Amino acid sequence: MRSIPRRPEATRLGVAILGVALATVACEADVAAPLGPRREVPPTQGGVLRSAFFTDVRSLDAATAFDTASAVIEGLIYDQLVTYDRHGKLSPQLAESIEVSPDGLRYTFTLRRGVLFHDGAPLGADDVKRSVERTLHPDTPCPVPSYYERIVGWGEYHEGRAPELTGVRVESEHVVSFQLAQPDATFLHVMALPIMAPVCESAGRTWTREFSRRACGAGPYRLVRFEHGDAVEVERHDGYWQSGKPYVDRIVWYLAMQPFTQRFKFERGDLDYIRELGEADSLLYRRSAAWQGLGEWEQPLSTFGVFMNAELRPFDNRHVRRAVAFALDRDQLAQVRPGHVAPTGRMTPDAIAPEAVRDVGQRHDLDRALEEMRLAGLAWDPATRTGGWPEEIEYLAILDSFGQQAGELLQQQLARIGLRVRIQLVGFPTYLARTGRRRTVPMGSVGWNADYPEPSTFFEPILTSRAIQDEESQNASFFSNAELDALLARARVTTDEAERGRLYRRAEEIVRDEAPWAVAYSYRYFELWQPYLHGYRPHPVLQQDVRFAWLDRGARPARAGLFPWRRRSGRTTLALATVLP
Amino acid sequence: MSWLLRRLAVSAFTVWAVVTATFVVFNVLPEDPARVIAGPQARPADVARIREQLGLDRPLHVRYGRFFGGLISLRPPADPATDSAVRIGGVGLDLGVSYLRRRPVTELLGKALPPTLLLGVLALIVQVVVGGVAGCLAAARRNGLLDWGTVALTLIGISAPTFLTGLLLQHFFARTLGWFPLDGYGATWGERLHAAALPAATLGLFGAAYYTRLVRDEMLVLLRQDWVRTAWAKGLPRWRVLVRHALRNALMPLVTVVGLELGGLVGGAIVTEKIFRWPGIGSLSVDAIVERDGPVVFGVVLLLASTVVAANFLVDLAYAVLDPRVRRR
Amino acid sequence: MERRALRRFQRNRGAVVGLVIVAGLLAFAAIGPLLAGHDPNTSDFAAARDGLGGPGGPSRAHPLGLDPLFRDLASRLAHGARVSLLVGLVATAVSVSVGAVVGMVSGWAADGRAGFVDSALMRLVDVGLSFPYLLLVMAIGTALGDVTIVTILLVLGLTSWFGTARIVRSKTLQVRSLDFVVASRALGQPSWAVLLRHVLPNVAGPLIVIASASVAQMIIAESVLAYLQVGLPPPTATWGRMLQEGQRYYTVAPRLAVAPGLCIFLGVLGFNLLGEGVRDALDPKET
Repeated sequence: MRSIPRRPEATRLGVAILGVALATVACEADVAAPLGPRREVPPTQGGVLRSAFFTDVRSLDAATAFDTASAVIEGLIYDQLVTYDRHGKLSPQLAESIEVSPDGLRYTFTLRRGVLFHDGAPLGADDVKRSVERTLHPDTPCPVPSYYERIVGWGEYHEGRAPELTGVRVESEHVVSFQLAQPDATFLHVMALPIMAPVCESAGRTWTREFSRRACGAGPYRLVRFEHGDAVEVERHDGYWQSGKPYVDRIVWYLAMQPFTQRFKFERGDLDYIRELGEADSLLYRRSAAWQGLGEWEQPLSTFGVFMNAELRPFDNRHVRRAVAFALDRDQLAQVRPGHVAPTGRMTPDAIAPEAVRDVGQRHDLDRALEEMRLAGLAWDPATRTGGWPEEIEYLAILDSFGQQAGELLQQQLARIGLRVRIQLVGFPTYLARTGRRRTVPMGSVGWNADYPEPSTFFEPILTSRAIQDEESQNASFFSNAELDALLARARVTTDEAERGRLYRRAEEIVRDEAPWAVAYSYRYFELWQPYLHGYRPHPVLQQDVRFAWLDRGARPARAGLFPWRRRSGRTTLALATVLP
Repeated sequence: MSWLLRRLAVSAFTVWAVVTATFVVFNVLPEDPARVIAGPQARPADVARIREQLGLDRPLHVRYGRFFGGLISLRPPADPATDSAVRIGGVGLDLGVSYLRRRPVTELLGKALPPTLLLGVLALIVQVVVGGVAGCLAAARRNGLLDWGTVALTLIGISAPTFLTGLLLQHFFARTLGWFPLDGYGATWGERLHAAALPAATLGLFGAAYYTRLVRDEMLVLLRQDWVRTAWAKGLPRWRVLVRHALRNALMPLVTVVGLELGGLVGGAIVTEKIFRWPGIGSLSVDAIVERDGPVVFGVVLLLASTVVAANFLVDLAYAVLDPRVRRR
Repeated sequence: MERRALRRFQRNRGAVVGLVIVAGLLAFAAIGPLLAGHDPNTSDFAAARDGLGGPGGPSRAHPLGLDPLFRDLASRLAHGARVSLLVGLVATAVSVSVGAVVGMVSGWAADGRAGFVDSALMRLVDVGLSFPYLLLVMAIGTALGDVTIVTILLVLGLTSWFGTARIVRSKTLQVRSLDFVVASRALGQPSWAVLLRHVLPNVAGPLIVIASASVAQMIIAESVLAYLQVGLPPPTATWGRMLQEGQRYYTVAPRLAVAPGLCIFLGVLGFNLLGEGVRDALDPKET
């Protein structure tokens, strides 16, 4: 019935057209110029700021949303009692002052006067208690209620056995106190999470799924529109407690946008600020003279590496684990994503590492790696390629992550010491399920984000024996070390900074020598903004904190209309010329 | 009449079987949505609570019973605030609540369906118009420049996977030329049509290529037939003969092709919607699968299977109406 | 008959072009890895860099340059060709055989004492044709992790035979009522013998046509799976995965995406041309 083309010319033409199309893709290894001049202007109100995420935002409910993208938008909508200043230090936000009792068990927050919620209601101490109780209520799907388990009465309330959280007390109209069962050096850090933000009473006293669409707090912006997979739009909250702020009228955050689309939109001025540049694109911008001063690396608060399951052979032998840590060539990993991958041999990232730990860490040394293999009784002879561990070892990584590329390099590096690795790529849910199951995965890619900027977050939840379970173990290495357990418990209740520094140094030494992880790198993003965006720089703790940025609207070129090609005719002609030979 | 009933029963069975198979596969996969929802860093006790809240700690048959038991309800909702059903008349269709977005699945599907329909209809128009016109022209100018040009283009259309065509179209027409938006859906209908051009072309091109050749070949056979020659001999304009008889013939195979191609269209739509950030069923389902958002996946599968089955049913019905012999088969 | 078909095929220039492309790919897959002279999975950090400090472009040592992990692109393309061709051919074989067996059994059983077999099989086909496979394959693929070439072959082969079964069934129904078949049944020949001796040769034509069109579809399907990252695990080189990985570099090193993209396109084009040539040669309606 159907026939085939009878003419080879047809095929030739087909290939030619495709070739031309591909060629137009091929000749654009350069970046567009910044839009408009950079002028020093004082903060002024007005304008729309646009950015984008690669992912969707799951929810904007302070009580339930805990992923990175949600946290950025929540930072615009909610203010907390306490937050971080420009230097990454804790500082009061909605609280005017914070008082800690000498025994470290009682935190008293005195609230600012005149703070208004987006619905116009004034903020009082009972709003704080109501919001905390809403988050920790047994019916609320809060992902991390156990962060607050040290508040007196938490257990009874969270189990549904008590009608209120007794440890949180309204002392007066503007004073609220939190009573803890044990001292907790991390308490103010967990109070700085958006999850503890005061929310409007008018949006519902208890949790409902509708809250996310009416998200209402006391932050500088109020929510106008939230469409999953499309965009979040917020508008200036005129009643914000810092008078004159914020400056921008509206912020639009597009969701689920491919990184290369983000770059193209940024070039056209459809986005004013971006973070998720591809590695290659960020290289181009970093090298471009025109863009100097308009971009900056964010400070990573995460550490990545390779976990080794200390309960499974061959990694039950600490020498094999040490051999892997020595064999891992972190510089090669960094060369694959120059700039984005920063090699490291230590758990705590630079941004929050105490001075005392900075010189501790694993490092690459092939001879030591071979020596450790010998000590393990698995000597490998590189000349004859004999010896080593006889079986293939499974390496589990999440698909579409850098852990995959790291695995492909690790595979080559470990082959040099007699360990053969087979890579398995799985989706995120499977990765979580399998790495958390006892005696299941011998090794794999692993990463950890700081829950809050404090070193304990890189040890306690992932490397202590308390974190080991048969299922859902957060300790993927199933690594258990009594000394590490004990010193971390001490660090948690110690408030003396120097002492804490010494304890964390010892913790780093244990990780270096026992190697439950081969610590490898931290991953960071390069952020870039157009010259007319002012007052923004990456914050050391709060991601993408654009709250108090402002726009130089005079310097921003007019936007292209419905028929943008009319204004870009030069380039269009050029492009057509490539099509018509 | 009994033919109709039997056909309906078979359709219902098919949808049920597809959804059940998906349900079983999803629930025996060795993983746990609760941990994804809680986040990678959540503590085990918190994950356990979420699992309990979602009923994921119940055995498979209980969850299965709950899913199908709640699917269709005739009673009014007990509590309108937490109701997740969509109601037409007195009948409610309840697909549950998305684990991650915590919105009723019916609402998510209702939002994602119009963009996908728009895209599908436009793609179909691209396919029929481009395919029909190109096929007619190619046949009319057989072995001419136009013919082999068309045939060459159709070959590209058939041989280039959707993800390749999509990326190229986006790069060339949206980025280099700037004629169309790079991605997105748009707020007004004008914007939407403008934004839909490239994804619809991506999706329609493959079909158009296939369809062009279908039409061209039909036409070639047709044009050699006596009555066409007679028509021309009588002095009827060439184009009129072509359009009158060609168009009718061009639409005939469409019925069959559409029914067969719906499945393929869905596959293409997943990739296309992802590239162009089109907020339709494809985007929804990819995210749901990656995040193991069970209720959304079952909802999507139910919708897709029903669509395919309904389309096939209608095609069969059309044939049955046109050709009574089919009914006896 | 065969000779005439062969002559028709030879006269068909499109088909000959297709044959040349396919032969070229086969040669590339067979000896390309030897010519490239590099291991496809070994990074060469000592090699020259491009202007940005990334993996270098084409050079004498690496004719197509290096991939993002500093591996030889040409060598990876050649190994990718092996995967694509293997999957395309074997998955087609699986699909067509299953479809043929089911179709013949179903057609043979129709209306007889074993009519329920026919109904059951055809309901299975109904369900099979309504299934959103890509969704299911993605779900399972992201959970498995340990995907091998056998998994891919089975997944592609076993999800694509439904249409074939339908066509073969109706052809079988036709053949079954032909006089000589009825006669040999009456003479007491066992069913399997009749199926093998009379039915199979008669459905062979459509089967060859289906098979030759299916190879191209299988190559696309494999590349889509790899592109969506549910194909063969790394470091195995496959065109779809290479395209997916190269895509993010296409502003600085477009060859990383263009080369595998072109390979997929050519492979599919070649088999499409060849397939249509075969069909027209066997089924000369138009000439």
